[in-house]
Amino acid sequence: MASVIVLMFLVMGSSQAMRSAWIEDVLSLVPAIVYLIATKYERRRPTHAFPFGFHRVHSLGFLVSAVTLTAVGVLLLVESMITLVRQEHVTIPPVTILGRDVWLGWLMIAALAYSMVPPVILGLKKLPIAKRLQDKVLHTDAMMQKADWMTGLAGIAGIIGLGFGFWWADAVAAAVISASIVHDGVTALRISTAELIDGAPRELDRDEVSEEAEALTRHLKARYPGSEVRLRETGRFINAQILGAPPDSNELPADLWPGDPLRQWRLAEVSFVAPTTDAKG
Amino acid sequence: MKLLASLALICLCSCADLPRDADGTLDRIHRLKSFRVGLIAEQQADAGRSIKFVQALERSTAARALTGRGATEPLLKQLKQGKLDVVIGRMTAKSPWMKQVHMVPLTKAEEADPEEIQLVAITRNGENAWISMVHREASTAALNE
Repeated sequence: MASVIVLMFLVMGSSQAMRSAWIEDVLSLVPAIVYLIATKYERRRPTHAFPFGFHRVHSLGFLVSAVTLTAVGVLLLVESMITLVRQEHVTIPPVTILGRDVWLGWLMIAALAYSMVPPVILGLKKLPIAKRLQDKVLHTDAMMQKADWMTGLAGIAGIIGLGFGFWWADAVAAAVISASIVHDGVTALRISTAELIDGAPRELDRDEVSEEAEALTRHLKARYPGSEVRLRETGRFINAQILGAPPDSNELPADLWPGDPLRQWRLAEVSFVAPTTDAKG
Repeated sequence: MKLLASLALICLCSCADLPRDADGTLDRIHRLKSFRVGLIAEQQADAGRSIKFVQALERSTAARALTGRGATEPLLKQLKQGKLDVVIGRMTAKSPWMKQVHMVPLTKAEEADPEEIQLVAITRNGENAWISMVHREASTAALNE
């Protein structure tokens, strides 16, 4: 990715499509950096100041990625719209290479074609790992990179359009790329917000309650009839709260996980609220 | 597969004459056999370089230069409006006009200081074929100094 970012920076010139594609490539580093920082904090033991530990650092990191994506995507989209309204024409001059004048557009197209390859490979490799770790930050990162070929294609279409004399092609391509960044950002924002306000565990890539959470709820309700079951997500883990039923002192959280045994680690805590307590607390 | 290869070949052939101008400046010059030049009030030292450059453009376009003189702002406004094809004069790389027009230095790279006012050929943004030609003649003129 570093090579892609450097190469794109060197050839981007005054093309908005190139600039949007370059910014998207730079932004693609944010989820990865956030994931590394969050993973380091997640392992820390609870402290007096943070008695519930640091599982939610992942959620916070996800929110940071989502806000960054959305904000930058919106700015780029607005910039493209302004360019179209003002009918600004983009100049792509020639550059001299080994004594010959070469239109910079060809170098831009080559850089964009190269930029399509590493992110797709990285995205495909990260996706199964993200699913195994149930890591939304990593999953968002993987999905964005997997779809990066569309950004490269939009950029190439924009440059070729400019080459054919269609002044609006560059701005339209930049708008398409920006819209995809905004879409990724908004999806991530919805998922991360639900998590931070104690929403039920969501699927990795969409704002729907996950099938694992639904199965766990059904299992706990069957195990503790007449009780109310609440689930919330803290980072990659699920915390369950059972209202109106006493705990079984012999059961561990792992014993209550109904799904794939390899994913038992997701159920981190099961707490019981006594039948006489006000369950709104 | 054959269809894909044929399409790719057609695309490559149609890209052979890229880039083109958004407003067809070079096509119009070839059609009318003339182009319009604005000369910003110049120092004596610039007169020779400017004339040589205009003559080089005449040779490569096989067209005649229609030259007029004037002050910087009116000429650049006419350039933006499409009433001129190229303006030649002294500007600094930090001029506020930099974002609105494209400047091609007419001096050698080692002579040019971005802070200093240097002799440039100025074109409208987006006329990439015409700009490529201006760049080529400017490089040739600088090399021949």
